[in-house]
Amino acid sequence: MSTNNDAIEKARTDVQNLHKQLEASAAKNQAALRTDVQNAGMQAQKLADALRTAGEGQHAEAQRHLKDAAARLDEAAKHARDVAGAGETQLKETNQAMLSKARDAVQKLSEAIASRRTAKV
Amino acid sequence: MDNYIAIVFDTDKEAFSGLHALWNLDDSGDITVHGAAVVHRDQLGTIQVATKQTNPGLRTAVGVGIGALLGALAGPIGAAAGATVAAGTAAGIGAAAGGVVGLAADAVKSDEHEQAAYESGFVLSPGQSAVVAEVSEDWTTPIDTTMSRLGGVVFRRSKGDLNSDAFDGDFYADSLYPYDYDPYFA
Repeated sequence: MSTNNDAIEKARTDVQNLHKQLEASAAKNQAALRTDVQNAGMQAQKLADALRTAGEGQHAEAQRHLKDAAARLDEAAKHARDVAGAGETQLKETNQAMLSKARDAVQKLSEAIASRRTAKV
Repeated sequence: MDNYIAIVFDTDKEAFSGLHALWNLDDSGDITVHGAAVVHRDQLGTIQVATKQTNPGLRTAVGVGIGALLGALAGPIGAAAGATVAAGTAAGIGAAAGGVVGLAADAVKSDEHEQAAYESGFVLSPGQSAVVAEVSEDWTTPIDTTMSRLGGVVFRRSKGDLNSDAFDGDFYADSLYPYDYDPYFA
């Protein structure tokens, strides 16, 4: 397994964990939810940046999936930027929107891994 | 190839083992799992989804996405019923989805729908549970062998077939957990 392939598998695990965190945050109170959303946003941005690096040297199909996953994480991070003065309803909506983007990103990463595995057969 | 699969087991416990075994196959690189969930059909015919134990929703009525997926796995007739489920109200989804599987099974038995290009034979009988999942697999042996050992029966439908049924593939993905979890029925 190449270093880049390791990076993709690790990235999927990281985004799966982000999804789990966002799911768990949904049940929290307003203050805790705001902190979680902001932290998740920063984490999503970091993961998006890491994915762009991980895409280097991959074959075209995997690169496309990784680019899509990074875009979804960018969108998740963007959602988190405007929650400073948000009320509970807006926070919950933001959390749900980020959860959906994280789910999409995991899907794209999973597709990148599948295309990588298929290419090896 | 990208497939939607349903693996039918006689008990919840076997289905939970099947779910974990599926993700283990992903860990070993034999297949890639994009998402999976466990569903159960009770004696009244209602299908419910096993959620994570930490999820306050606990044992929930089958969601729109999984309802449509179950219908699609059952073939064109089930897919049509699945579309009805998707358009239904939340309260009606569980019962309607139960109807989806039953309708498709009846159609297979009666053989009245000769125009059907595909029938998987997928049936989820009352009391049974199933792992439903979206997977990429280069060959079917890893899943078939593993699930057979655990007492499961595997049904497949290619993602391409579903797209031709005018279903939006992403519709299902949101309903499946994108990682292994401990399924929980209240």
